[in-house]
Amino acid sequence: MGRLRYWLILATTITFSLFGFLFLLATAYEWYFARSNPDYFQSFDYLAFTNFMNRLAIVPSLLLIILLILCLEIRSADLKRSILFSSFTIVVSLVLFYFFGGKTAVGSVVALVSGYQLYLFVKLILSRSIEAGQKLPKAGSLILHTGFSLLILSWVSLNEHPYQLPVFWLATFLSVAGSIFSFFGSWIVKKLKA
Amino acid sequence: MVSFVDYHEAREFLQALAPYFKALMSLYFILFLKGFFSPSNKYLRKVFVFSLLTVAFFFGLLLWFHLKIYNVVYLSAGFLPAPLRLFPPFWIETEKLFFWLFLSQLASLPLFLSRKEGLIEVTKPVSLAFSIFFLVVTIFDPFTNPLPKLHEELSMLEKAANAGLSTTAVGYIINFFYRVKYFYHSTYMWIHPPLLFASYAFFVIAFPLHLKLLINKRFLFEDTIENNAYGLVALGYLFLTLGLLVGYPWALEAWKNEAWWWSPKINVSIMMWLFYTAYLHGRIYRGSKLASYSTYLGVLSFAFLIFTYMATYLLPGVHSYG
Repeated sequence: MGRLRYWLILATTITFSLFGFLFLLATAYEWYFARSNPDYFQSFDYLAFTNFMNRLAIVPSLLLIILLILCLEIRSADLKRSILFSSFTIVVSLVLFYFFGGKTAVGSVVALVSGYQLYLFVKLILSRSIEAGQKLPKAGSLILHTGFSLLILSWVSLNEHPYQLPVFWLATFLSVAGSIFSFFGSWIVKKLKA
Repeated sequence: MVSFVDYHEAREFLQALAPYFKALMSLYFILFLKGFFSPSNKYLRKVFVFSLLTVAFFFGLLLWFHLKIYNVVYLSAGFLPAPLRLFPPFWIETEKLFFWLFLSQLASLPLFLSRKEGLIEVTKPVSLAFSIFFLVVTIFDPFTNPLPKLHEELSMLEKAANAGLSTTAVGYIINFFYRVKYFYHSTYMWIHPPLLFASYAFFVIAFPLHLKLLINKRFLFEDTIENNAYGLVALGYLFLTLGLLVGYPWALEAWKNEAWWWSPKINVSIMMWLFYTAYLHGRIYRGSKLASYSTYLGVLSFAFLIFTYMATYLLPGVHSYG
């Protein structure tokens, strides 16, 4: 199981890095075309390029969401359930992707994941077997990843929807609060105990 | 008759201080460099405290200059919805690097003042980073030509205010009024850039630590340098995430009818965030091979941070000010 965890984190790290390089490639592409056409950013070519990139970005986004579900095991769920849930999510996302397109697929999967994380969060809080020093970083990690899931939801599926900004601010709050507890949870508990 | 004579005098006063500023910054460049090659805790602490006091003093002078602008630049006219008043932020034009240096010094205060044993391992590489930073600020100083673009705008405003009620003059004043409202005084302007500079402050201190880890090939579990580097990146990441996110509603508001999402500066900012995220994930397995990759990612992420900073001037697109 330890080995699997290692590979999951490695896969996540590589996906983030490759996603980062995708943005670098996009920048190089735009820079190249803007050199010969000063109005490139107002042109139809640019609009077509952004549409293409929006579609392309769905692939690493979905991959990250799936990895996120698999990594939930590291935080609190058990591995078997995580694999089952991620397989279910993969099937759902592929079906939705085929019938309704990437936007609906990402939105539905993110909503599913957020709900699942909320369930895990409540379970974690109610659990008496985990000590506070470990509970806080784990809870923080769940909150943080729920926040990021909701951010993707607000950008991809709620674009120009009246709920976009409220969801965005909620996601921002969760991401930041979750980061604090996740990175410094053990330290906070140690200080509080002292 | 509108006169910004006090503003011009204050600006000239700052310009007169530029040689002293440059001399002191070059002195700290040398002192920190010396601290890197022949380090002692006591020496580094002393240099750090004096440099911080000097930087704080010069920051105080900039604050005074900004207050001067606030007091002097005041216009009230019937065609304006409200009186025009301006307090420029510290994170624009020629002042942003100096602001970044100031924040970096504040961020490293606990490191330099701590009396924990073995911290010299951490402060030594950080002193090299400061040495380079002081050299950069010596070259791109905020005093030789204080806020050049804003100065141009204020000179034009002064001219327009004295030109009577010509259409061009009124047009310029109204335009400037809205530029102050939606740019210089925008709530987002006072949250988004300072948060990003706060994150950069932590990253600039973490960078030499990652570099040292790579050079020494040290990826141990309980390593002082590694732990400090991680703590600094984690703190910086918090500010970076919040700073970037706060930029989103600002972009929605400011670039309403423009395609900004895939524009170069936005791309490279997200790229930098993704690489720091990758670093933090890789670091979960400290002491393993993955942690060594993550150290490489720490160095690479900082290279992308510099690229992102420069992108504003080098790359085209909506966020370009080049």
